[in-house]
Amino acid sequence: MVWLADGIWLQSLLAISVFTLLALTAGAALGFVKHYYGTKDTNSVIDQINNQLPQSQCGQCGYPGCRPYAEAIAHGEPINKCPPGGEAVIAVLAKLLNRPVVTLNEQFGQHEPKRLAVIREEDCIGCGRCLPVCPVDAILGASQYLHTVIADECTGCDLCLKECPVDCIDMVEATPNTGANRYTTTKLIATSLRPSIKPATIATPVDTGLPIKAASFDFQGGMALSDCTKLSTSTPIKTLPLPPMLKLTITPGSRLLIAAGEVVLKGQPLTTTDYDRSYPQHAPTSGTVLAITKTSEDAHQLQLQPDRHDRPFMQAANVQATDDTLATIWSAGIVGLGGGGFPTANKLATSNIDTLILNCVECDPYISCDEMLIKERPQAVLSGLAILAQTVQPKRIMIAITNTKKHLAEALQAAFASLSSTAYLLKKTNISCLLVPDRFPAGSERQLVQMATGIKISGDKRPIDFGVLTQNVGTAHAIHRAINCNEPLISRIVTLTGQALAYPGNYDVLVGTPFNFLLEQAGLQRDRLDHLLLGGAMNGARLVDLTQPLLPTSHCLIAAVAGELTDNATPSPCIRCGFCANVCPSSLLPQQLHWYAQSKEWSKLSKLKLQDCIECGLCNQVCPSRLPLVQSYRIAKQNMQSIAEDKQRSSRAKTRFQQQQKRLASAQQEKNARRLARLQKLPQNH
Amino acid sequence: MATLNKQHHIRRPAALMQLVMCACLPGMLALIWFFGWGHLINLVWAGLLALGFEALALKLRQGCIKASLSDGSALVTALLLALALPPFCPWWATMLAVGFAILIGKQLFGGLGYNPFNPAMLGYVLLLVSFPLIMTTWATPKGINTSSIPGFFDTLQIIFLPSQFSLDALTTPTILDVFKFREGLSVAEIWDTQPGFGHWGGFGWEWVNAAFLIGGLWLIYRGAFSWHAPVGMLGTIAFCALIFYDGGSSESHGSPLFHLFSGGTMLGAFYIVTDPVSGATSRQGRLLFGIGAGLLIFLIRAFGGYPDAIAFAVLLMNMAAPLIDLGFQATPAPQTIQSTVDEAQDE
Repeated sequence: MVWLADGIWLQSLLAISVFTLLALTAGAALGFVKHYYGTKDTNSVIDQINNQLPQSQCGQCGYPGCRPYAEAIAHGEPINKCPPGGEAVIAVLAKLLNRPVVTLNEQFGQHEPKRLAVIREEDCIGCGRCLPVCPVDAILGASQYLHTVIADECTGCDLCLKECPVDCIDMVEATPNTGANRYTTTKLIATSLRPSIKPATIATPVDTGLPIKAASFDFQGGMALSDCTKLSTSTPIKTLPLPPMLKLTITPGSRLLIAAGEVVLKGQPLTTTDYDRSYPQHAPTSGTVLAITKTSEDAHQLQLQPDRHDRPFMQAANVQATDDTLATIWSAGIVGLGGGGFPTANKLATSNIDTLILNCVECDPYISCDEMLIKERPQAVLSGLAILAQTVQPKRIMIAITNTKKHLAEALQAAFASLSSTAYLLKKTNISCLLVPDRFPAGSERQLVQMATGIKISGDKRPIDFGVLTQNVGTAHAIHRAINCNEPLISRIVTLTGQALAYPGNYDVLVGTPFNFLLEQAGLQRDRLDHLLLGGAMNGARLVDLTQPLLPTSHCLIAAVAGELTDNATPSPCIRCGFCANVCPSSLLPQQLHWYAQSKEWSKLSKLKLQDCIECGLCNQVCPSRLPLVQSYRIAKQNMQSIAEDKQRSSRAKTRFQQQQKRLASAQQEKNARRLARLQKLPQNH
Repeated sequence: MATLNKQHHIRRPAALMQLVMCACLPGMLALIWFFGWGHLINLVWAGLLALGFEALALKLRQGCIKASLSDGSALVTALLLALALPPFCPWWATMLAVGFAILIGKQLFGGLGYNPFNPAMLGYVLLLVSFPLIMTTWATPKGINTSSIPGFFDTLQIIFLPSQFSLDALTTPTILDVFKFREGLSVAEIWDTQPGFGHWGGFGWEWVNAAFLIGGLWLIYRGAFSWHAPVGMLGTIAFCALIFYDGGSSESHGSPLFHLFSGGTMLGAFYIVTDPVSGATSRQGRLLFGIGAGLLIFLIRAFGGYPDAIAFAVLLMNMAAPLIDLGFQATPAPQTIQSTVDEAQDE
C-alpha cells in the first residue's frame, strides 16, 4: 500500500505543480497583456462615473452635485437622470457599467444645448442672493454692487435663476466666441518691448554673395505632382482696375475707428485691436464708407465705395513715426500671406531665433504668386528679408526654393549682388539659397523646416520652439512696402488660374475686392466653369458665394472646367492597399485613421496622432477607392476639439465645486466653533 | 484628379486587379506549358463561377451588382484558385472552392475590403482538408517519363466527366511530397534515383516559380505593393532552409533554392501574402506578416503533415494580422535632432 500512497502523493504533487505552473504562465500572460494593452486608469468606479458626468453641479438629478449622483449610480441608481449630459452621457455610462441604454427621464428635465447665465446689469439690484447658490462660485459681486458672471466658469445649471428677486439673469446659448478663448489677454504691443536691436556682432565682413546649395535633409512621404503653373506664369503681374465696391471683412475682436457715412483716405486705419489673433485693417483706397453690417456674432462687413481719386492718408498719422520696426509692422496690419493669416509682428516678437527661413516653395501645382513676385520684384523681396533679419537677428538665413525653379534662385542672386548698403546685415549673416526637392508638400512649414534643418516637428510644437522662424515671400514683400513705402497691407498678389479663365495670371489685387469682379476681369467663361476652388488645387475649399471679398490670406483662386481637377468617381470600400501611408508627409496611417474616424473612436484617433495631419490632401490623391479621407479627418478633428473643450470646462467646474464645498465646510466649522465659544462663555456670566 | 497625379497610376481598385491579372500571365503560360490545358480550363470555369456567385451574393445583399463585379476582385480570387488547384481538379471541386471563397470567405463578411481571410486560400484549404487525394495528385510535368500530357479536349473530359477516367497514368505526387517521404535517402541520392527533379527544384516547377517571380517583380516595379511582405517571406524560407539543410544528408530538409523554386512559393510570396485586405497595414507590419508566413510555411513543409503549406500559413497569419496592426499602428516620430541646431550655433 505504500507504493500506492506514494503514487497518489506523487500524482497529486505533479497535478498541483502542473496547475500552479499553468496558473503562473496564464497570470504572467494576462499581466503582460494588461500592462501593454490594458487601460492605465485605476480610478474607482465612482470616479469613473463622475468623470463622465458633465459637472454642471445643477442638482436636477435630485442629488446635491455630480459626485453624489455618481455614488448613487454606483449603488444602482438609474443612469438617465442627468439632463445636461443627455443621451451622450447615458450612452457612455451604459457602456462603462454594462447596463442597457435607456432614454433620458424627462421628469428631471430636458437636454438642452449648453447655456450660460448672463446678468442684465441695468436691472441688477445687488442683493447678493445669487452668490451662495452658484455651485462653482462663478458669480462675482458683493452686496449693493452689480454682479457679473464669469462666462468661462459658468456651467449653465440654472440654479441662480430662481434666487434672483428681479429676474435679471438670462440664460444665453453658449457659442464658441462666448466664454473661453474670446480674448487672449496677451497684449500684442507689449511684446514689442523686446530687447533693443544690437549692432551685428558676427564678424564676417567678406561678402560671399548668395550661394545656392541643395537641402541636406529630406522629409518622409510626399509626392511629385504635375506642374500646372504654366497657365499663370506666362504673363507678368497685372494690376486690376478699381472695383465699383470694396467689401472689407472686419475680423472678430477689432474695434472700428470710423462710422458709416464717413469719407476715408487710402491707407487710413479702419480698425484697431488688442486681441492677438486680430490685426489692424486699413482702407485700400479713398472713398465713402456706405455701410457696416453685422455678418455674424462677432464679424462685421464694411462696404467702401471708391471715389476713384486714390487720395493718400497723411503719413505722419498713418504709420506711427517710430523707430520700432516691430510696432510698424504691427500697425501696418501685416499678416502671414502664405495662408496662415497670423499677425506677423507676433511671430517676430519671439527672441532667440537661430534660423530664419524665407519660404519661396510653392508646391501646389497651380499656385504661382510667390514665383512671379520673386521673378519681378526680387529687390523688394530681399529688402523685406533684410528688415526681417534686422528684427529677429538670426544666426543664419535660408531662402528655400524648389529645385525645379532654379531661375528664381539666380534672379535672387543677381538682385543680392546689387543690393544697396542699407541691407548690410543680410550680407553679414550666413545666408544661402536652399534648393529643396519638388515634392508636395515641400512648402508646408513643418516639412520645410525638416528639410532645411533636419528638425522633425510633431504634436503641438512649433518651429519657433526650436529657434526656427519661417516667413513667406509675400509677407517679406509686404513688410518692405510697409517699412520702406509707408504702405499698410491693402493689396496682395493673387493667382487666378484654371482652364475656365480666358486670362489666367497673377494679379495685384486690393484686399476687399469681391470675387465676382476678380473673375470677370480674368475673363471667366461661365459656360465652361465646373467649380471654383479658393486656396490651391490640393487643399483649397470650394467657393460658392461669389459676392465674398478677397482676404489677405487668399492666395489663389482656381476656376476649373469639368474633369480638370475631379472626375466624379464614386467612392468604393477601402482595400487597405497602403498607398496613402506611403505618401503621408506626417508618417501617419491614413487608412486606420479613416476606419476610426468613421467609427468615431476619438481616443484611438489621438493615439494615432490625427492632430499631426496637415490636411495636405495627398492621401485623397492616391486612394484607388477615392475615399474622402481628408474630409473625414477634418470632421473628426472638429469633433475632438469640441469634446476636449467640454472636458476642460467640466474638469474646471469640478475643481471649483470642490473648492466651494471645502470653503463652505470650513465656514460652517468656524461658525460652530464661535457658537461653542459663546456657549462656553454663557454659564460664566450667570 | 488625374491631371495632378503623375506617379500613382493605380486610381481604382479595378486597376490594381488588372495589374495583378497581367502579372500572372507568365506563370500561367509556364503552368500550361508543363501541365497542360487543365489550368486554363479551370481558370475559365472558376472565373464564370466567381462572377455568378458574386452576382448572387450581391443580389441577396441588395448591393450594386455592376459596380462590384467590375472591380475585378472576384476574378482575381478565381485566378488565384485556378493557379493553385491541380490541373485535373474535377469541376465540382472547383465549384465548391469558388463558392466557399466568394460566398463565405468574402461576401458573408461584407464584401471587398472587409474579409479577414484571403478568400482564395479559404477555398483551397476547404478542398485540401476535405479531398486530400484530389489536391495532392498533380499532372506529370511534360518531359518526364516520356509521357505526353493530354490534349485540350481530353483534359476537358477529365475535368467535367471525372468518373470515367483513371488518372493514375497521368499523375504523380508533387516533388515536395516525394522529397518529404523519401525514407532515408540523401539529397544527392534522391536526385539520382527519382524522376521529377530538375536543376535545383522540381522539374518544371522551377520554371513556373521563376515566371511568377518575374511577374511579382514587375508588380513591385509598378507600385502595386511594397517589397516588404514578399521579401520577409522569401528571406525567412531561405534562412530556415539554410539552417536545416544539413549538407544534403538523409536528415536534410532541402536546400534554400529547392524551397524557393518548388511548390507554390513564388505564387504565395507575390500574389497571396501581398493581399492588402487580409494582411497587415503598415510597412513594418507587412514585413512581419511575410516573416511569419515564411516561418510557418517552412515549419509545415519540414515538420508538418502536409507537403506544401502556403494556404495554411497565410490563413494563420491572416488571423494574426489585427494583432500585428496593434503593435505597429502608431509610427512614432523620431525625436527631434537637436544636434543640427547646435552645429548651426557653433558656426
